[in-house]
Amino acid sequence: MFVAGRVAGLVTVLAAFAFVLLGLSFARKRPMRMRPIPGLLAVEEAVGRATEMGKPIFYSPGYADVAGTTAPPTLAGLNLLAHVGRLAARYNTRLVVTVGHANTYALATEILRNSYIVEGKVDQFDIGNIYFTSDVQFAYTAATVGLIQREKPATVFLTGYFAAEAIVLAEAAAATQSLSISGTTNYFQIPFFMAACDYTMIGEEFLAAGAFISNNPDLIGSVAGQDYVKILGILALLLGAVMKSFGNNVIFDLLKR
Amino acid sequence: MKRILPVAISAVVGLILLVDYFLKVPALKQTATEIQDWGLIVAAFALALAAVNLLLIHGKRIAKKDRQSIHSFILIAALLVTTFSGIFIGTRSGVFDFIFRSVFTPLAAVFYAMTAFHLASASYRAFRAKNLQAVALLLAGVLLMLGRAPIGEVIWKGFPKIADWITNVVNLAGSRGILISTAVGTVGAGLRILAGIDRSHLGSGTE
Repeated sequence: MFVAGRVAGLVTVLAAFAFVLLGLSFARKRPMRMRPIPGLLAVEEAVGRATEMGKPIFYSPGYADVAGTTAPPTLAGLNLLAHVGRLAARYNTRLVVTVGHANTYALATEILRNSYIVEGKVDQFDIGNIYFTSDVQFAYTAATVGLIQREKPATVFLTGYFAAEAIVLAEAAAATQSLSISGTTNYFQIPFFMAACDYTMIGEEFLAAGAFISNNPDLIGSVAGQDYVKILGILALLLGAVMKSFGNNVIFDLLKR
Repeated sequence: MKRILPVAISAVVGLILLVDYFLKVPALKQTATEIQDWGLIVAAFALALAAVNLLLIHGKRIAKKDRQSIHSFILIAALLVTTFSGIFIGTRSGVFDFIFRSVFTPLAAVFYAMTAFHLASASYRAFRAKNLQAVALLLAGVLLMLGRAPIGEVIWKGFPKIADWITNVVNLAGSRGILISTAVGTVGAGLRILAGIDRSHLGSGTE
């Protein structure tokens, strides 16, 4: 019935789902508040900067697909793109986007079109500002770096899934003296973004961006549910460490099942 | 309906794939494989759509004859030559092989090699001791470099041990914290989408 080695994963997913629902029900009873995330607080300032300077905003959710393991950061990047798109439409600021994967391109186009519709400025939506580059890592990088250098944007958003190209893109933004906001779940790239960008959203902060921006009680409640799972995880870690120290492998064996 | 249908499809498809991943249900195996095949077909259509849009956008740009037209021309020429040589002559043909081995691979290697220089310039900016955190970063960076470079061990034998401690204790503790919270966040984000709590990727607005 159960696939060997995946039982602990199944229990974790079920527990996470239960706690997300619990957080959701708490949030509906009593409003919850998320702690401020500097990178997200800076979004409006970043768009305002571009508007004042009369320069475009550059945005990329990375070169990855909206399916598979890269889906969560890419979708989080697209969520933030919808918000940035609305602000850009509101302040009549040009928004240039590069996307690496065809699936992501289709989704990004519709999301941005919708942002302009919501702001009542669909006539300003220009599909020519959304560039489909390539889902090959360094072809995407070359196209994106070239675009940043030619457009010289006031603000660069690198929020999505990024691998080795992260530092190249962040440095291209720094070379054009853009204000850069980055976010990714790929923890190997977080130090590079931290070193090269003005604001960086680390892992889960970035995934919670949609909840923070929307201020939707259901979404904030689900983020609180994730925190309950983390508390449970920390308790399991501590218990496991103590038990292992005394030669008891129960938790260790359970996680291997 | 425009909102409910995509959420319902996401929930059903996601649930089938999740159950297939965690449980041995023979009845679902075939369905899960079919769904993954559909994913490939949808991706192929998306690629065709993206390629057509690419041709239209860059075709218009060439027609405008501005200073960026040359970039669009190179892009369309490269796209057409690669596509047609791959389809009509074959991916093992000399033309396709030349494009891949003599143009694409060296260019990609150059970009990868450039990361070292970008790292150096980013480190130069990040390692300026502006505040206490930057000082900690600078100190850790210097100790790590001394511990990893052969000259460090020549100066003092303790540098490699300090470098190991920074890597295996301080760095590992921090990175595991990020890794665990990201994993939980990823599961949470997936569940929010499957349950239809988060629909912003469908363009439902974010405010």
